[in-house]
Amino acid sequence: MTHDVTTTGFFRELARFLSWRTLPSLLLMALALELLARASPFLVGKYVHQPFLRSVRRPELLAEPEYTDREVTFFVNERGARGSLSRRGAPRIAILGSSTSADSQLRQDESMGERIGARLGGVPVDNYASDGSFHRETALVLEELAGSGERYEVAIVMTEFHEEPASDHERRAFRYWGQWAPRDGWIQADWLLSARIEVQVRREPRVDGILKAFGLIGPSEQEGYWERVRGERERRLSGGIPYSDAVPSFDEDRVERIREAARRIFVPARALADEVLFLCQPIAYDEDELEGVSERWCRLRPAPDDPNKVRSNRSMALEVREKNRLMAEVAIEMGVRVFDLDAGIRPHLKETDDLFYDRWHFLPRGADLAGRLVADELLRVVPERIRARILLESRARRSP
Amino acid sequence: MLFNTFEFWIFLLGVLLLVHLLPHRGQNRVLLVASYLFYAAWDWRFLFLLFLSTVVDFVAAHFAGPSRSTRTRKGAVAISVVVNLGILGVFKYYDFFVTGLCELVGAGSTEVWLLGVVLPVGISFYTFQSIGYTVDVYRERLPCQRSFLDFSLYVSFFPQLVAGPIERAERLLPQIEKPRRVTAEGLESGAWLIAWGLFKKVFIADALAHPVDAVFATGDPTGPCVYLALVAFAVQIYCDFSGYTDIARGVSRWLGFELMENFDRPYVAASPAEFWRRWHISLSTWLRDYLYVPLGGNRRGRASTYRNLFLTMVLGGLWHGARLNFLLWGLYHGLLLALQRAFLGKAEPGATRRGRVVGVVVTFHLTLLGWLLFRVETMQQLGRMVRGLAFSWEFSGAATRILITMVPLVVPLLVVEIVQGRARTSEIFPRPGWPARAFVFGLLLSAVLLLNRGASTPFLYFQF
Repeated sequence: MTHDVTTTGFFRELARFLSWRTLPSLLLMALALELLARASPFLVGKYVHQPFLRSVRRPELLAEPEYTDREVTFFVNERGARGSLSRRGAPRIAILGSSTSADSQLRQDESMGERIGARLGGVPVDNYASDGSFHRETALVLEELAGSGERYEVAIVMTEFHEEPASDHERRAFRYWGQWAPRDGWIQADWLLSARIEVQVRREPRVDGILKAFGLIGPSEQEGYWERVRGERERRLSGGIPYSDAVPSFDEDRVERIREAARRIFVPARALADEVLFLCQPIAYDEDELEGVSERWCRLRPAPDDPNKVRSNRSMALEVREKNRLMAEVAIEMGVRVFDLDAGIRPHLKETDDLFYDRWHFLPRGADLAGRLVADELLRVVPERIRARILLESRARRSP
Repeated sequence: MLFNTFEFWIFLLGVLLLVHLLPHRGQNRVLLVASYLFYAAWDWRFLFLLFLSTVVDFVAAHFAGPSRSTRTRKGAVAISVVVNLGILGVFKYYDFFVTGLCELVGAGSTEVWLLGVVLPVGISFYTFQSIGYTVDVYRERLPCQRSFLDFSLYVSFFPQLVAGPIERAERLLPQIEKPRRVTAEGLESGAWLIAWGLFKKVFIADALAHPVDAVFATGDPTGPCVYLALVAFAVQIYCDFSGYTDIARGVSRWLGFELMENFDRPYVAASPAEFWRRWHISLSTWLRDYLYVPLGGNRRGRASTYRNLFLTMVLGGLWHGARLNFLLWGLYHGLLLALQRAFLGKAEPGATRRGRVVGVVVTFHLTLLGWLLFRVETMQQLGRMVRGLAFSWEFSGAATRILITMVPLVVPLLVVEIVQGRARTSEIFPRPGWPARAFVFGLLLSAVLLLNRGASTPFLYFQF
């Protein structure tokens, strides 16, 4: 055999591509990239309406140290909500809010939305809540939905007030809800995503845009959001953490911000549904618990009175309950019904530890309990006209 | 290491630089090491299966050549078939048949009998390729391979290792043995194949997977939803699998190899038989040459022909996996082929233009029913889908949304395939001048980069 001296001529042939056409060709390819990058936000839509999303929640992405053994896949329907495909004429319930409402880490059959629907005899429930979102995302989704002409018999809202810059939330709402968000091109401006974002976010040419385009890094607004805080679990287990029961102050400004956030949510909610039910966020904390202890919260947070301490369970619970109370006040003022799910669940906390995995996100048993409580409340409080439609659908679903 | 991940392209860049800097024997050594590394990236523990299959067929072929006695030759082929099918049987089918057997005899819990092993990627492809070589040596269609290195590369060549095409030894081995040349035209057409393959996989198939999965996951789908989901799945599986093949062929061209075409616009087939001449060509011709023909083909009368068709298609169905739905899918296609032969004989329904159009429409819809059997995971799911198709023909918003999702994804595919059909070429964008080609090439790659729906999803045929 005399083949050993033969090479393929690859580099010589490759050099043949280097002609006067090379640079114009590369420019044309860059132009194509830029054009598509600019057109892509319009091609893939904005906000809520990303139909048929298949979402996989992987435990390693989550910060919760106590609940790491499952990967959950779920689908959304043609309206971009977690739930079944639409049936003509059927009454529908919408759920809006943050991660607890989104049934984060629960399979569809275990979810609160599914349990509510089942308790009502098979009424379709569209869950628009999204993991990792707060009151601003909830408001954006509600505004988008109400503006699109969607109508529901009942809208259930359970969301958390959270103080972060508005732009982060607007971008996050797009990213999380979109999922199929077009990635940045080299020159593409982020402001093309949304007129609202145009005001908030200015684009800069940057290296991370290139890295993102190749999928080497995720969208920057997710960075640090999902990541575990290094060493947190070890610190917690070591028992060497000083806790504080102090609650961040609810001064006049903050109270007004919470009330304003609630108003921004309830106005579109009322346009979306005949009946709106606001749920007070439940948390696994009762007053008999020891003071100065923190465990199983999503992550340790610095105490408001001393940056060297972290917030205790009591500190977290009292703040959440105060926010619940303020939002519920606004709800009642605006004619929105309120159901204190937190109070409904509290008596069951002594029976079992299997309701929450981190004190405010449901385990299957917690979602089932919440679903039953909410469905029963709905049947109790919604007007006869709506209840009749739900029960009619329920009977129709049961008959062959 | 998926073709649609960044790691693969870094890996390929390294392989390209090394391969093209070395002389021929060195190239083969690098390609062999690269192929084993590529496979080990999935699961290094299964490398021994690849090696076992390689060793067994290398040795068996030495005893299957014409210089040996008939008994020795037949024994060598038998050993090759038994070992390769044995590997397949243990790793792919054992649990399926044990479960079925236990259910049949009412043995209760099957847990203790199951192996529960993960299916090694590409096992169905390389075992068939290996068996094909030994049988070809036995049939004296090619000489026995003397170089273990070359033969190992033939079995493990990484672009087609995990999802084909199932190459014939008479095509691929000479390309391994002789020095290879790379031309500028080959590099360019390879780049087009890769870009088009990625576009089909990432832009079309992965996006269509979402409505398809949503409909198949729903409890009470309506008829229009099921029908559109089946159309979407037909396009999805075609773009997914042919996308992989295109990338494999493009990468191979960059390395100086020419792999066979695995698809020839299958949905313009005017009959089930024509469909199988256009779909997964490397498997269908393998089944024809190494199973259908040895069984007797159509030479021993009608009953025997029908039996052979059914057997071939059932085994072709089971080749995809150890599940009841694949068995049914194979049976269904066996039935279609038998019916075609019974009613049309050897005539094809494409003689007239009208006949061809009707044939294409009918065949496409028959194929859709086949895809329903192929796609379902449980018989309950099959029942739900059939019930929706048969009894629930209300046009809901979901169906409209599936249609809206599908149209922009399918149009580019249709345009390219129509152009290819008219120009009678497999080139992706054959005619226009360089500016248009550069722009469209940029668009294809941009769509892959900008409009993908998140994380890389594995190719469907990796599971087979």
